[in-house]
Amino acid sequence: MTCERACELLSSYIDDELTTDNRTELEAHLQGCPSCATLERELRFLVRAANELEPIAPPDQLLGRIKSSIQRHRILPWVRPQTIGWVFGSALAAAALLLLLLPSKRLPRESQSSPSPLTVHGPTLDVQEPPEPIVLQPQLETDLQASPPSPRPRNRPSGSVKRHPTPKTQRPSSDLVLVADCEPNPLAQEDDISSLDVTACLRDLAAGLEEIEAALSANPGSPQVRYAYYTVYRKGSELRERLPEYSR
Amino acid sequence: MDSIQARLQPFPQVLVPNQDRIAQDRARYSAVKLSDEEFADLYEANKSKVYSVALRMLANPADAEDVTQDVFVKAYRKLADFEGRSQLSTWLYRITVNRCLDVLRKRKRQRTVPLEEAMGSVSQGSSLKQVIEGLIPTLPPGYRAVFVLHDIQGLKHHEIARQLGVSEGACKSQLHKARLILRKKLKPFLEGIA
Repeated sequence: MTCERACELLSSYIDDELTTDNRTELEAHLQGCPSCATLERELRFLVRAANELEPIAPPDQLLGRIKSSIQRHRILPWVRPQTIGWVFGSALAAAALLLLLLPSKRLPRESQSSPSPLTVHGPTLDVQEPPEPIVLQPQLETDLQASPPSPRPRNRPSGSVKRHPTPKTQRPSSDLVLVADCEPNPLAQEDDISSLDVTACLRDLAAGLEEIEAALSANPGSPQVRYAYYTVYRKGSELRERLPEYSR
Repeated sequence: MDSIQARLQPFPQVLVPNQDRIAQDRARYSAVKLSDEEFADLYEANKSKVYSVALRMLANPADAEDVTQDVFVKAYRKLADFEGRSQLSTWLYRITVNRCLDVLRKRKRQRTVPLEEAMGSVSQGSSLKQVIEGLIPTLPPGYRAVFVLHDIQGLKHHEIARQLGVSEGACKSQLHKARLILRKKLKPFLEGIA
């Protein structure tokens, strides 16, 4: 047995985890190798000392802190099972909001109130050839209605986006025109959904999701609110996917 | 109405509260809810184990207290998740180690305690145990966890491997390397003793 192999086996030997054959072979090596025997003796001493280290007690006041922390958790709504839906809804809404905010380019709020077509002002990119205006066809809406929540195809449909050529010498408008035929929420009820306008939410995704998240918090069980959230979230994802300028 | 239902079909299930699941959870949580006295007993029986691991892993009393607090609050809330396949203390160790590793990951710059600094806290007359305590924070986090759990807390390799999500062989290897590192740093002490 080499010294290197003996060194590999030493910890297992000290912990009494070696097979009989390995143990016999190692012990024979240790008898003839003073340096490995010294290493074994020092490691065994170290392990014995570590085994004897005393447990350390935390400060006495820690229990009080823990109890008050538990007390705070008791009154939080997410501890109550009936509000699990609210928790999940809020968490997902927050995650969606983060998803939309992370790309660092945020859709500005559209001041116009005309419902359709939607006009979303894109970011002004500091490049020599600014992005051309992109027109999304109404197919966006039909895609959304028909498609299950499976991942979107990676290849963008060629017919869904039209690029209008722009003279390169002239700084073009940075407007991105989104033609999305946003229908009203089919589940909307006057007393429930009046403040949630899907069209308006889509006009400014980030603000819209914030608004819907607040509505989810206030009314977690409402299918109308969840429908609005779902629609805006999915359309927002579509929008980001189809307008790569916003995803940078 | 059918078309509306069809459109709601792909709605993320997580947003739709499952009443059966909620009822099950409610029954489960209420069944294992600890009284104040029971929780105090749980704390007394395990506080030193949890705090010792946290302090030796993090080398910072304030962080160790925070982790201990997190562990017991989580234990109180999630006792239903404890399936009884291991000892309760083992389950607490797992929460503790995971939490400590989170803290170590979140520290913006993993500050490895230099040997001189660690040894500086040890006076000339310090015992070998005190020196070892001072040197544990100099180990890399993974080695540190295995060394603390195996050689100090006395857990078995298979328990540690399960807690850290590594193989038993990797666990043994890390322990051996941790011991070799400590033995190298303790050489001056060990030469005269061992």
